[in-house]
Amino acid sequence: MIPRLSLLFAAQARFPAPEFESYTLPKMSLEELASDSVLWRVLLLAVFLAAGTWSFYKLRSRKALLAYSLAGLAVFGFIFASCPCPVGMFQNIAEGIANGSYIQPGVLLLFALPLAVALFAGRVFCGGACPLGAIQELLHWKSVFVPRPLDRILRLIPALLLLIFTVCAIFGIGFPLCYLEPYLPVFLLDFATPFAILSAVFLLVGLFVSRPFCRYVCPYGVLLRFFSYFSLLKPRITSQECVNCRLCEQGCPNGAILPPEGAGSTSEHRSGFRRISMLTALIPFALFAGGLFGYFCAPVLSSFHRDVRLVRELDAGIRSEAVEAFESTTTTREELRTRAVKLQNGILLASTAAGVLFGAVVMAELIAEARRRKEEEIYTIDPSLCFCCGRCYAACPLERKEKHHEK
Amino acid sequence: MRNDEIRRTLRFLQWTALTFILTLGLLLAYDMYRSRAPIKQAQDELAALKQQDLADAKLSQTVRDLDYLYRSAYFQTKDKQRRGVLLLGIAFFVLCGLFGAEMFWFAPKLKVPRGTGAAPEKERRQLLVFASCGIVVLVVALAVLRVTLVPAEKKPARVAAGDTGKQTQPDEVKPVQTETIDLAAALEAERTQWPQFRGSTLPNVNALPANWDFQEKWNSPVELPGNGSPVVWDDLVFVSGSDGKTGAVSCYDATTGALKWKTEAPPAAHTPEITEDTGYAASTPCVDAKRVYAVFASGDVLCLDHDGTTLWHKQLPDPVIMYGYASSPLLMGDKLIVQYDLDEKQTIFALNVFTGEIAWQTERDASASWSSPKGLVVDGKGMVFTAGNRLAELFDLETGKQLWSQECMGGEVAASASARDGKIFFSNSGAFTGAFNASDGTIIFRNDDSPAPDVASAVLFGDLYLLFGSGGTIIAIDAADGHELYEEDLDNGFYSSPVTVGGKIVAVDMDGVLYEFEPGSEKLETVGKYELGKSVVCVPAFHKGNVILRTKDSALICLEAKQ
Repeated sequence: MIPRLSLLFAAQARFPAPEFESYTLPKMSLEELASDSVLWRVLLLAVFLAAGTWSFYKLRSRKALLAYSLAGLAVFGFIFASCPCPVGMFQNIAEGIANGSYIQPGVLLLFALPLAVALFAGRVFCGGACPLGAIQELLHWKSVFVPRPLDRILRLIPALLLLIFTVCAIFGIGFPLCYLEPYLPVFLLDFATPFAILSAVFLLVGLFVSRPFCRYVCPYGVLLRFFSYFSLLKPRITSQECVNCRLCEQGCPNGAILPPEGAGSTSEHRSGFRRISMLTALIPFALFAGGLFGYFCAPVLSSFHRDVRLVRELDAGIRSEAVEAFESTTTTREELRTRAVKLQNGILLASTAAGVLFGAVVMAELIAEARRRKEEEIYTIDPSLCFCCGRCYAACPLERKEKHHEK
Repeated sequence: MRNDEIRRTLRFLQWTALTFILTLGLLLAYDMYRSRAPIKQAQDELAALKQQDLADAKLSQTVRDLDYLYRSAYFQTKDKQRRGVLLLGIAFFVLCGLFGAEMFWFAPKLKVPRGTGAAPEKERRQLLVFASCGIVVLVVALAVLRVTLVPAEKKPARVAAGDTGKQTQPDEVKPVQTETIDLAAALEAERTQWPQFRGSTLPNVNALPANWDFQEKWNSPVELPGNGSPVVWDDLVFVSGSDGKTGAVSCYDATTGALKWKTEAPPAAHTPEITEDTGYAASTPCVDAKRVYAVFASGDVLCLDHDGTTLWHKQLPDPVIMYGYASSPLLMGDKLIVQYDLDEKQTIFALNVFTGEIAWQTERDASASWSSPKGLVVDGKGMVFTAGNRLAELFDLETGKQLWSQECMGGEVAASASARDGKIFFSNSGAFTGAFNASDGTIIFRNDDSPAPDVASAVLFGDLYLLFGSGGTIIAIDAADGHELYEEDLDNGFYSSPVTVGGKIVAVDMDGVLYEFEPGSEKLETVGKYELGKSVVCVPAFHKGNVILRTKDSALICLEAKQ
């Protein structure tokens, strides 16, 4: 029912060009704007990232970070129409590297700059320079907290998406994930269904669950998370002596605040040891299961490739437009089949490898979460999960008191 | 202004913006949906006008004026929608700003800490529970997906190098051949029946209704759709049907119309791409004294006995053919002839009627066609005539040896031939209209002037060869030399092939008007005309003075003459 309705709305009625002999079609031309220059965008992104870092680490101001988000939304969201795009960037780069094609330096910089900043200052990019992050930050109304264990499990989804769609990009399957970029209709002001429906769903969920896309979908976020783990600057909730009031933990809807880690009893240590031992023992199985999962996914991924799909259509006797187009070319069926078989084998190998890697990521994540952290008496921020929104600053009574004194 | 007043104002503005966005969004969606119909209507109207003679200055000006009018209306609508979408975007940004402003100006109230705070050790245990549950759910989901979805979808086979497609379905016990069929006796026996597409191979001797004033004797729904015609043996009526997934043969009592049985074919290996006009069961089944044979668009051939028990099933290579497979099989004695002219490969299969094994197959270098083979007997020997794109050919029934071929055909060949007295007659639009000498394949005559039918097969009647077009024109040509004798225009065209029964020609047009014609040398006389009121594309069958028709809406109707 819903796909039918979607098609009904999505299919655009068009009026054909006039057929009068006296009429000539006007030539379309696009005037290049300064904002179209990628280097200009890189420069602006650098300025934004610097401002974000300054606001988060130096000003420690939620207000400044809100302004940063609003400006990011206006510039990178509405003016640059969702650029830099955390969904498309890694696919572009993966495809470029795999095919040895030329990657524009500007595009490479757009991709690398947020990662470089993450190494230095964490996920400042997500705070507001990312248009998707900005819109979610601003349109979050009332926080419904996802239980931390469930949150950690769901956060594995982006890693899976990253691996799957990297394989897709490498093998020329295209960028299917771009169809799942939920905020694009808003930025492009093009509300064609079914994308607008996806957009509405994410916006609605985002009103209650903070940053649903950043946390549970964004594949670029996986890279940012990894780089942020090694970040030089570590954010602190308060520069004062923490009183463990827990307000920061309750104020952070993203689950980035870590509770104090006590010394732990002997039984807790034993139980932790058993847990880690069990998980470590499971690693080979997880890798095998991941590989198997990747292996099973391969035919599905292959079926999205135009050559493989074309051969299957030819074999099944389907008269699609693609088949008709193919028949008008000089490529023989044997050549097409050889190409498709080669691709299919490549996808099978890559998908299996990606599955193994995903198994490793899952186990690494589980072991990291299952082990006891370094003994810590106060609430701390996990830089790899923190989106630099500054909510904890605003929730911390000591920070507010200090701000008040500064005024 | 006090802080709480500002907050209240902001909240009010947020709600206003949200309501505005929702209302405008819905209105825009509705407007976009609504504006589609008039555009389509305008385009259709313009297209219809453009079909007329545009040399007429007045008409040309009308087209220009209408084009301008509709185009203006279209772009005005588009502009209006574009403005609406822009307004929606602005409202959206304003909403973000209002949310941001509230967060900007009003720091969250300091709260009293709730609960006892997170317990890391407990959370770790929970995490493992969640992870275990997740793994179990994933494993179950994968298992369910593999067990249910994949077989239902007929898992897309891996593209294998050198794959030539499935040939047979050897999972059934093959019946042992213990009987033989005498061709002459079999052909003679079927003259009183209605055993296959367009009736019997030899002239049919069924009686026509006493008069053309009909009443419905019975009316039974056919569960599965199909464009194959009904066939009759004794008091049993057989039809085939398929919805792409399930193909079946149904048997009805010719006297009461009651469904006696329905037997399904094994699930098709692939659901082929077909057009709605063709359907998945366009081939008419064949029936002899003991068995009924049906071919489906999936390449499945099913043989049942008269009680509906499956005797054998054969899977021919996947039929890759534009529009879908539509040729009807031909039953000649102990062989079932299947003309399998696909896009890539053109083969004539002769299947052993007892076992379904291939008795012979002859591959030719031709093109796709939808024509059905025609059986004939020359000098006591059974032969099979086939017409396809490029070639008209004759094969020996026993060996499959090509006796002769004529490279005279072209276009999309869908009609079938007629044969009499060592002559084979054929007519199809864009292909060929003429007659061949069955003994050596020489062309006796050729008529390139008269418009030929594109779907319905022409019919022989005495010295006449009559062409029933899909535009409603009936042309009579001389069966001796091919020159056109006369032409009649009717209101509706014919997809259903006319047949000669009881010394008359019976034909049913696309609107379900059942005609009884008596062609003369100068004029086609309409003896009877009965309006069924339902569209028909199948060939009617005859049983004891009754007419059995399958309608487009999948009903089987038996008409009998009023007393």
